[in-house]
Amino acid sequence: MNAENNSGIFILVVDDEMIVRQSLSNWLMEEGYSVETAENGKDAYIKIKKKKYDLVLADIKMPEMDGIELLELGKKFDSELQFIVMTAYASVDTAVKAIKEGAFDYIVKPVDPENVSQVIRRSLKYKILEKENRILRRELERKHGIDEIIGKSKKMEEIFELIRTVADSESIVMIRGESGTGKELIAKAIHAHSKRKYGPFIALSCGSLPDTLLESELFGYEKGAFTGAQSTRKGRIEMAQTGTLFLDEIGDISLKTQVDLLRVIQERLIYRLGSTEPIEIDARIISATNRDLEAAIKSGGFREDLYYRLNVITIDVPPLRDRRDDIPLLVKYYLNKNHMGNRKQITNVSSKAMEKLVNYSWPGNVRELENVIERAVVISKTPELSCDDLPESVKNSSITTSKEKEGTVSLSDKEKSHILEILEANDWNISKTSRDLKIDRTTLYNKMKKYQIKHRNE
Amino acid sequence: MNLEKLSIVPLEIIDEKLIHQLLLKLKDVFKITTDQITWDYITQIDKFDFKSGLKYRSTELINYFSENFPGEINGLLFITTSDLYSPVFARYYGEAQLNGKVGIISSFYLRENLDEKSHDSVIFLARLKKEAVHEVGHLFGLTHCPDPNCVMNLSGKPGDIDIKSSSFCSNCSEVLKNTTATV
Repeated sequence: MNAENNSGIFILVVDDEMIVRQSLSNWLMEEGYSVETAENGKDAYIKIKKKKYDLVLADIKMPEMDGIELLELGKKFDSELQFIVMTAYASVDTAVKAIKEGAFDYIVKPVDPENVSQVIRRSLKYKILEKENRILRRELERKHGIDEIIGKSKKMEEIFELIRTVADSESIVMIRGESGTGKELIAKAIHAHSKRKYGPFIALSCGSLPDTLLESELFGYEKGAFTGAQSTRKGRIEMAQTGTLFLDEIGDISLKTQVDLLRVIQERLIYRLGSTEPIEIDARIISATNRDLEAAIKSGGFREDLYYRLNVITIDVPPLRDRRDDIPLLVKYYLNKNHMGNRKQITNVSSKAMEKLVNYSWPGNVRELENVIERAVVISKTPELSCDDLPESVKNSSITTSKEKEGTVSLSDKEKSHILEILEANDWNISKTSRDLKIDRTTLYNKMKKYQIKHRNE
Repeated sequence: MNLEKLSIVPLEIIDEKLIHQLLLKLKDVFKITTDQITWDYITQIDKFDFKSGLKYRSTELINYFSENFPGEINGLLFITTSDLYSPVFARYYGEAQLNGKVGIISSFYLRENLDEKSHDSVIFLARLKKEAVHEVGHLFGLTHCPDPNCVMNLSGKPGDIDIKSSSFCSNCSEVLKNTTATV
């Protein structure tokens, strides 16, 4: 084989004239392709069903089954199969019909050999590009799909279900949850599962920008609209055409921008700064916040009308401390992720370290967990991640729920968590724990039974 | 099985000096013995006409002699001044079986943009030699090469033949070396 190795490319030549089959075969073999022949559409279709070809070069006029019928059947059987049809001058109309049926191109006989080579090369290149495109789209869907959100807890299962349901609709969605809970991932998953998935996903963190900058970021501007506007620029809303616009930290925008945004949602029109030309908007809006918007409305910091416009469908993302069942899964996920990046072999997490990770309150949620694992992988000296690799705050952790955080914990909840903490501290030694708690062993057992406290391994 | 000897068969009266030059070139490039035989010699048993009007039906001719190969002959390269005919292709300079024993070259288009001046004769001879080496290269299993300087590069117009060299690129040389080494 020469420099261009085509021997792995299989071409089926279909023509009722033997001399045409031979002439083309000789030529294609000189080009380095692997070639097989069939004398009519029927025989060719049998071959197509038995073997994977890359390209079929078929004459249109043939007995038994003509080239067009073969094209229809062949494409139905293998949509990736490329077809080039051959015709004489008299049947160019039929060749055009073949293109409409899905043939890549047609060759009018007789033709310069170089042209045949070019058409074949183009069709094969197109096929490769089509395949790459399919793989990339699949990869994109996978990367931003639900699979990227880690969680098996009931709460997360409910969120996954909600993502699938809302993705199909065009409704405006508001995602609410503490900082670091993965609100943007959920917005991306909605986009990836929606009809708009091949459109852009444009995200803007509204809270990080001063009001004037946010305005130009959202709406874009015309050249000369303000000092420094040296050229026309599209805003994020316009950039999200046919796709999804994700507005994070929506609770932090000024009342003026709230009015502008409300108008966009109501009229589906925008005006670039410095322009009177309206631009029609076709973008789905998803917003997110960690703020208590209801309280903001009461205090006059957030417009009630915008709140109702944005809050058509709400997805509440639970904080990590309220879905502790997912922590081991997340730890494993981030270990693998860091392992691939750092080439460091951390294969396991000690049970003690895992307990600490599960019990910690995670005020920074999943983002904090990701950082803790990344740090631990870097500093760990053994293949097993131990308590020594964790930051002090995590090492000293004991279970804290959202209720506790909010100060509404009951006396029995407090007692349960205290017993658990002392049990953890004493490695579940009942005698030591009862001594520390200044109660006898029987009372401790009764309390453990009452609060359904069981060792993780039980 | 590889070629050890190649016989050139002129299909019309062709300048002896020109044939001699081709024999030397092919002998030098492929390290094989070469000679010239006549059409009458190889068609002494069967009398067939491979012409459609003024053109030679190259595929049919190659197929026929592949199946009716005179025993004492090792490889055949037909040479003609006429155009070649294929039901598929409009204009080509030669045809050969890949890894086969029979090929054909035509000088019909090779005089394009040239006249009888001495310099042009040199260009014509160079084109003919390159096409002969190209087609015999196919007999040795070489396919078309993307390197524009390599003799196995596919030439669209006669002017393209002038651009490429009369020798093989390093890749094709390597393939040829491996092919001939397996004799």
